Amino acid sequence: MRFTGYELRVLTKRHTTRNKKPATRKNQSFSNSIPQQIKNMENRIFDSELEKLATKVIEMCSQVNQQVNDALTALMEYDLKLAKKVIGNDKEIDTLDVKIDRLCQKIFALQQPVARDLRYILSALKINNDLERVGDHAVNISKRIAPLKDYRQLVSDLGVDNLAKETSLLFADVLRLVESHDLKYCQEIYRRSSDLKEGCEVIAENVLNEMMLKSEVVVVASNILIIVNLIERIASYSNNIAESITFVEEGEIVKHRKKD
Amino acid sequence: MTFEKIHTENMVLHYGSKMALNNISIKIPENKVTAFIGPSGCGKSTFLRSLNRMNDLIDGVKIEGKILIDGVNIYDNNIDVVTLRKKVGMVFQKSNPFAKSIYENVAYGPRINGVKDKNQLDEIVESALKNAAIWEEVKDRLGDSAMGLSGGQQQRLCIARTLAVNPEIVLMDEPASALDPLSTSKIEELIVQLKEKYTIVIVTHNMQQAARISDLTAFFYLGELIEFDKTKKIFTNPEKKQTEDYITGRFG
Amino acid sequence: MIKSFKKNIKGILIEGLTLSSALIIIAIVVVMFTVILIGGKDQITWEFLTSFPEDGMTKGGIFPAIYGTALLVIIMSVAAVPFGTITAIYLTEYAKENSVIAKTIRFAVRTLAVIPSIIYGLFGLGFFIKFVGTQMDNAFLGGQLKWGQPNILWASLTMALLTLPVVIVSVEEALKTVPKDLRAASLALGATKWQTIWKVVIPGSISGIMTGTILAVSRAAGEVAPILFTGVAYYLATLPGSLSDQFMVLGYHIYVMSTQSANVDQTMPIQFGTTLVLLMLTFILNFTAIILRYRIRKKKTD
Repeated sequence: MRFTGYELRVLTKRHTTRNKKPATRKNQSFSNSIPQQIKNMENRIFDSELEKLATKVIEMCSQVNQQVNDALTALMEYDLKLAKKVIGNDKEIDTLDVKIDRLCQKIFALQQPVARDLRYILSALKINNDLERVGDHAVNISKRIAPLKDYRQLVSDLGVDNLAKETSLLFADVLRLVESHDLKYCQEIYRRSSDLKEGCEVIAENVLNEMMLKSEVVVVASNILIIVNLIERIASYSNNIAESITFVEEGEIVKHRKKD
Repeated sequence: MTFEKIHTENMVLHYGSKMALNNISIKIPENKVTAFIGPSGCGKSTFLRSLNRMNDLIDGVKIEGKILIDGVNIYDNNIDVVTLRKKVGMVFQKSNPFAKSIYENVAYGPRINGVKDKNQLDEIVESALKNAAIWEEVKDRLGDSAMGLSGGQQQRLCIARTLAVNPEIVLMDEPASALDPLSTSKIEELIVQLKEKYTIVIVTHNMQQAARISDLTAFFYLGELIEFDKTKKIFTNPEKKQTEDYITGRFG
Repeated sequence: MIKSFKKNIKGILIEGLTLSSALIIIAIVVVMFTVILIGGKDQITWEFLTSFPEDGMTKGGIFPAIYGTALLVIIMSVAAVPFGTITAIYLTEYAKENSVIAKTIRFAVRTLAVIPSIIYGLFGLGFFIKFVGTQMDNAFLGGQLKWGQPNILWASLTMALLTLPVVIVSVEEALKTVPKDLRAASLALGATKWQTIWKVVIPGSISGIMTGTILAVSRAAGEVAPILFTGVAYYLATLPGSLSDQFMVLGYHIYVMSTQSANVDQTMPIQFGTTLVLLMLTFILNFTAIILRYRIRKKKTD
């Protein structure tokens, strides 16, 4: 299964900025993507800080989303050049991570936020952290593509391509959720991630079987196992992000709860 | 049926024809600090003053509904206001010590209650000044005029003066709003200590202060009680949007 | 930043104008004083102050006038000050701000304050002497004439009426200087209204009360018109022994000496002396008030 460039753009809407220079990305207006609640507030210094924070978080999510998609595309098409690009872009994500942390710290110290503002900033810190890890995993996936040379068919047969497609869809939902804070995406995210995890388990078993049957594929197979494991982690982090945003909107800590 | 220390039901207050408080029903528990917050003119000070009937001093004030302290309606005809005010003390926004000596300021309350014995008065004065965390600073100059103290000290003196009549409830109307940050934090520390022995109700404009020192917070707006809950809940996840808008500073 | 020439001139002119009017006032006072001082200083001897007038006022002293003035002031104060203070307390502490009664009292006080003093005298004659006095004579003395004529009691009461408005107003002002929140503090401690007044308001305004009353009284000490028909005499051989006797006062003494004595030139030195004494008396009273106020204020802020 391949993603065409068009499909990728559709999934990631206007936040496809990989083809543009960094400078242009900063000029892009994110005002459409800032949650409606923040936009409705009166103009104050605090609000502009919050807006800044929201913009950065959305940007982070969008960049990480791009990384994930690129890594998965590189996996499915065995595109080493794309994989290298993913590895190289990680630095930018790290920079953004630090910026977001600093901004949260500043707001805490200077503005004494309460209620929803407080929850928003607390969750921004968590989401930031989770996104950075997802970005790391995308990089790690990219690093493990090279050894899969000549085994394209195996990868596809094992179901990894479908898994990759599902992962992209999952993370696209996460991005929509982060942009809109509309909790209707949460249920989808929990469902997809649960399915994904099941899928990972199945594939892991299959891979193990392959390894037992044909000893010469052990190296490839173990790389595939690691990739599948990384994808499972990405699903976990997606869940975390959904829980954090639920906390912001509803004021309840829902993590570690069963999600039916 | 047991009542909380202060218990009002459907209390309404009119200044002449204008309704200043509408349908206030609240249960304030004993030995806790309860904070009243809200924008200017929302009625929180008016409500506070109703609890020790200081509103009686204002012409044209009419009160309906029940206001019970320890289960007794304080607006009953047979209630002696003077006794009520000994039970429910009040500290004002701007410190108002009498133009007398420090000793005489604190002894004023006990004296008008009939305490004449010098030893007894000395004991009461010392204990009150200690409870107000100002004894160490003034013990060597009890005869000096109270006007010579700093703003923060004067306010603590006023608190001592209130404590000297041994109230059960202490009402505070923005007690630290006229003070510098250091004095303010001393008063805040004092308030948290006092709740062991007294029930404290404090009106404050400073939301961070309410957040820091109170156990329960009541949010008033335009004469109505919008929300009343544990302080932690109000400041992390309030139920009403008006409350949230106010405490995040989006209006008022 | 450079001041314009015109504004500069205007500033200097105004400053000069105000300064010169102040200087004129000082000059008037200095002149008045010097004239009286020069004219009267030789007269002030112990004999002058303690002996009776002789020889148709051409010789002797003015002791009875001093005595009469003092007695008049004392009885007048005893009548006016407590009554005025209590009225002022009622007005500030008890009466509701805009009630009919408060407005009526204030109106009455204001009207009393502007009535010419001679009318007080006529009132004293008509009410105290002709009405109250004769009623008292009829009731207790079977028609014998004792109270129905001018004497120091009626004169003092008339003067008391004159001072009353001033006392009320100055006590009221003094009471108002006590901030409302002190009263609130006292009430919040469980004091009754009266306890608050007695223990907080009055002690807090005592300096104002005292200075106000002393000033009111010292002004009245020099008034002559109200006592003209109600009890003063030009010459009495004896001091007033009871409330029903007549008396002499310094102000009246000066007036009669300078207008009606047989030999104006001969009495001139005595006139100067008497004027100086009256002036000194007024001064002493005012000075006492100022010292008192200073000391009470000082005690408060220590």
